[in-house]
Amino acid sequence: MKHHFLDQHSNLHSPVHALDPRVKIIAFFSFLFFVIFTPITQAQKFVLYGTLIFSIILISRVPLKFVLKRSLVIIPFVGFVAIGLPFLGGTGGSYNFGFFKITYSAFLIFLNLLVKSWLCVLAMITLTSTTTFSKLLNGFQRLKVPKVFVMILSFMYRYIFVLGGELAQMRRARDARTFNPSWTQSVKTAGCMIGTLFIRSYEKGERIYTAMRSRGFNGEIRLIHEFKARRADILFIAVFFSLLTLILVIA
Amino acid sequence: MKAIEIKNLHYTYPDGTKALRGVNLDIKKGESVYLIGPNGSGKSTLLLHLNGILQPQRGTVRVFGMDVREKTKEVRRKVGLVFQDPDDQLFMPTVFEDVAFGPVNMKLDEEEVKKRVKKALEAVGLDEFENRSPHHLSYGEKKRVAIATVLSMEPEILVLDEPTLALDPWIKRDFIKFLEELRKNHTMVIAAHDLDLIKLSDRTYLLNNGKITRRINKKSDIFNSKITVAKL
Repeated sequence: MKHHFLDQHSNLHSPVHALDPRVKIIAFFSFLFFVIFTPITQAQKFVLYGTLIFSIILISRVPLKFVLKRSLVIIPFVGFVAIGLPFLGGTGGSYNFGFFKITYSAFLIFLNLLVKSWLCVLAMITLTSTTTFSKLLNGFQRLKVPKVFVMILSFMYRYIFVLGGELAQMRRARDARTFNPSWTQSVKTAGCMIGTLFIRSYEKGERIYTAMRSRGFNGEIRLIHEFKARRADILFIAVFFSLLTLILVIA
Repeated sequence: MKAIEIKNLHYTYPDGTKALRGVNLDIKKGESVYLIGPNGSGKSTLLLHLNGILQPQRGTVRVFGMDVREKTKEVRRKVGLVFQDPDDQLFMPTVFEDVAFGPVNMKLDEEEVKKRVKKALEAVGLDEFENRSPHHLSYGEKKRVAIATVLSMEPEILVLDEPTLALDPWIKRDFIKFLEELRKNHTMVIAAHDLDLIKLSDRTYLLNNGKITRRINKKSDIFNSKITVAKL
């Protein structure tokens, strides 16, 4: 089974991959912050943000096609908002499209959402495809994210594949015994499968907890430290912040 | 001193299933004991008592003289319990973190933890696997890593539930050799229903319907024994 839908390409070798995960997480969140709080009317700034993120993608050697394809996930969200646009009022003139018209301010809302969510998603894809999931978790831990959250994420990452495998097996077993199902029948089967999967995960959770207790777990999560920030990490974060500030200041 | 001393152990699950009905068993240090029995005979329930995950409802379990009810923490350091399904045993994102889980909980320092992880992975023949994720491993590899996760705690007693289940004959042959190695410096308790494991033990007992019913000396003995399959 292919297990790479979360952190594909994260095992490549590049200067971006080699960075300390903490540095990348900080850079990621500050990028989001800058992008979200820049007014959409300052178009040139967004071009610069885009240039920044694309240059990082190029340095990281993650295939551009992969990044662009994956960034299409925003379409449903943006599309959903687009449906409502003709009904929004507003000022500043309007564009006519035959039956309906869209006001300038509604158009800005749309553009705002499209551009910003696309840039943010690009940044997120860059982060996850240059950092393995376990390093990412480690980075969050070092940044003092509450251990319980990190632990939950870590279990999710570990067991999503196990549950995915079980679901695939159940579907195969169902398909092997299903002939021309009616719609109601397939819905019923799907319901039973969800229920079974729920009970199985619950029981698995119990067994895992038993395994944890056997190895001395008493509710307290401990870790050992692993990375130290290198000169390259400090350089990266310094350059990254200067560029963001530069973009903010100009124009 | 006896490594494990079980006296008149009873256990009933909350749903009323009587899993153990008076088990008596003594195991000396360095000995290897194999418990064979049909499905539902209480093997797994018995193993869960050996490190205090389940507490005796009647009777006692002592490990190196310590009552598991009183000294649960110490007992868990002495007894390494390996579960049947390696997906239950391996719950961390990387092999390193999983093997380090026990030692880290024992509050060892970083250097010592790293040393132990290395040693444990070498013992199971999977050095260089430190940064792999469990979901990228084959089933046989997962089984080995699962054993490494308790070896890193350097237990004196190894307790294995169904160690050879679902292994193909080739991997199983290697795995049995590996268990023979482990036997040299550990007290071992194995529960399974695999006839090939009889040769791995000093003593083999038949567990049936929550009780140890007889000692098994050769393969054919188990088919000459009366077996009641417990209702699940």
